[in-house]
Amino acid sequence: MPYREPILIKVTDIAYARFRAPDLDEMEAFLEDFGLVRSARTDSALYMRATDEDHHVHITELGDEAEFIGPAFYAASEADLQILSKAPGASDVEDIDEPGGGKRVRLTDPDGFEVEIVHGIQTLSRLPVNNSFKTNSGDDVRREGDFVRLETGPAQCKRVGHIVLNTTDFEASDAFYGSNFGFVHSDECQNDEGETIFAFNRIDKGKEFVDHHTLLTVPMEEAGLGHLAFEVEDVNAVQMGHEYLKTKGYHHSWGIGRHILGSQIFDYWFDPYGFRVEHWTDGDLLNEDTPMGITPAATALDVQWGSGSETRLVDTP
Amino acid sequence: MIKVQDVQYIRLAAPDLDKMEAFLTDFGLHRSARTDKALYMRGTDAEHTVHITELGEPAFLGLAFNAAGEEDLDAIANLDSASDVLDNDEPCGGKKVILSDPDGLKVEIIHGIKELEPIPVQDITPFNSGSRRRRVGPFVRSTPRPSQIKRLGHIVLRCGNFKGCVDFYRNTLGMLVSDYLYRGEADDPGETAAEFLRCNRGEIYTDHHTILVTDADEAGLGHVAFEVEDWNDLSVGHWYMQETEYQHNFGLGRHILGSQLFDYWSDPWGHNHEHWTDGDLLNENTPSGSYPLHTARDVQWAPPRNE
Repeated sequence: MPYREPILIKVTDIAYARFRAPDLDEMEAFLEDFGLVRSARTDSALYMRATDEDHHVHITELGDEAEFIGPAFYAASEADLQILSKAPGASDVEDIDEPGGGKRVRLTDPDGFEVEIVHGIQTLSRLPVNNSFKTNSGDDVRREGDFVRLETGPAQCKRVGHIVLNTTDFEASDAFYGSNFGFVHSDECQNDEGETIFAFNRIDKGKEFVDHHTLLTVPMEEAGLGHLAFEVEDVNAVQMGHEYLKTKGYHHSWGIGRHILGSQIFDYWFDPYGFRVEHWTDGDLLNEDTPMGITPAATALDVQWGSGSETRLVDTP
Repeated sequence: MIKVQDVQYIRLAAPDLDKMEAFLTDFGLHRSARTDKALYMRGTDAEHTVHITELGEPAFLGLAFNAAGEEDLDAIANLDSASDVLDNDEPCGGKKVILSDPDGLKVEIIHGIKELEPIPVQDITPFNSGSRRRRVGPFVRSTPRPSQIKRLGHIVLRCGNFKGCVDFYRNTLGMLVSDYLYRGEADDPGETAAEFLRCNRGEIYTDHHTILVTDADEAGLGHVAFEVEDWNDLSVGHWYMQETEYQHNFGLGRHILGSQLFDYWSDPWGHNHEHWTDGDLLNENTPSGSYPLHTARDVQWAPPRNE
């Protein structure tokens, strides 16, 4: 069941995720080491960007308790915001009173996460990408005369790529995100009885190729953030970033390895509040002609190579 | 002086050819011939042989370089220490001249080695990097298997007569210095203790090093290194080898000098075999570099060595 009808709008990408934390300095220090760059900071919130032109991809509001508030996705147009604002439980179209501006509609998902659909947020000049080298692979030679000399430091994040939400009612979440925002199933994952228990969702841009998944809702006892994933330049970035975070003493969660569904080369870390963030590169790209996969649920955590799921930590050690 | 074009094969000795063949098969080579007394293994490229094991006590016996043409075989055969131009009576065929380097290591200069049908490389997975999308549509679905060795890339020689070896490989075989490695630090470099040497192929780009000659107490093999398809292929082979009993030495990582992504494994007799990919390519116009010796062991990234 790749499509849900009727669909209100089709979002065009994930925009950012919103958190709350008691110490913005601590969050900023981690995110810088993880490869994001401060875009704005107010008395009450921190806005971090990646190298692509989006104004921010990660927001942290100052608050007493660390908390995941919710994801934000881009609408294709303000007209789509108008359509969405008529949905049950949706806010009106609001001006975003934050750095970068823009407009949004807010909805609450079945687990109580605040979902923002945004449009017209200011864009910034792209940041220069370091450590980007062509490769010499077998007969495919692309780097004659140029040496690879990597600068030590964080793995620069290019963009936010996907979010995984732990949800208490898969059917309800799947229907909410599918029918309101037009997500499409790339892979449906089944239990031993052949029932679909979760699905990898991509955005629907027709013939245009997009990431294998932008959203995954996984059934769990308790709702929360599974992880938030950022694309980096390539394998060098994943490896250099891994070494850098290790020398800084942050907690590692899982990796380095290669996923099966989506094919990403991955590396997972914990932020100072225990939220998991992922570096990934070399993911699969799909479009409307790609048939949906049906796989055993265990495949979602299997690897093609690398650190297997038995090494995976989901809570800070 | 001739200008050798590439390294073609390594010659080892081992007391159990079955055991060597099993290791090399898991490591990613394919048998091209086997006689009562020797094993010949190939990569996916056409050349018949990149690895020879003779039956006998474990040893590093020598290495072979490709000559540019038969006239170079005639030229090198004029050296006092060299054999005549011989028809190679081994399965890989061709003609060769046999000589010894200053450490007494057997060096074969070969031309016209037999070519076989190349072995198709499976599971080639162009990379979707942040800046360059090159795998639009196809998925990566790699399953455990050996890395796919394309060719022999380089050999590291431990030289008892270091100065003699440097002279021989540079001035008899025409190799160029890619990097000098000195004993001290930049402010007080001291004498050269190792040199990365590449083949001189004029304008044509070639590997950063085809041999590394290092100053050692006695002659021997440092390691022998084979090129594999790409990073994914290197990783697939690494995790495949992790499931075997073979000794892992170092990797996965990225060298500085040469830039290769690497992974090192020992054969059953302790000969260090490397997989690598994505190395630097230089030509005759690339200037030589000069670095402290430890740079040859330093990495851009890697886990600690197993030693």
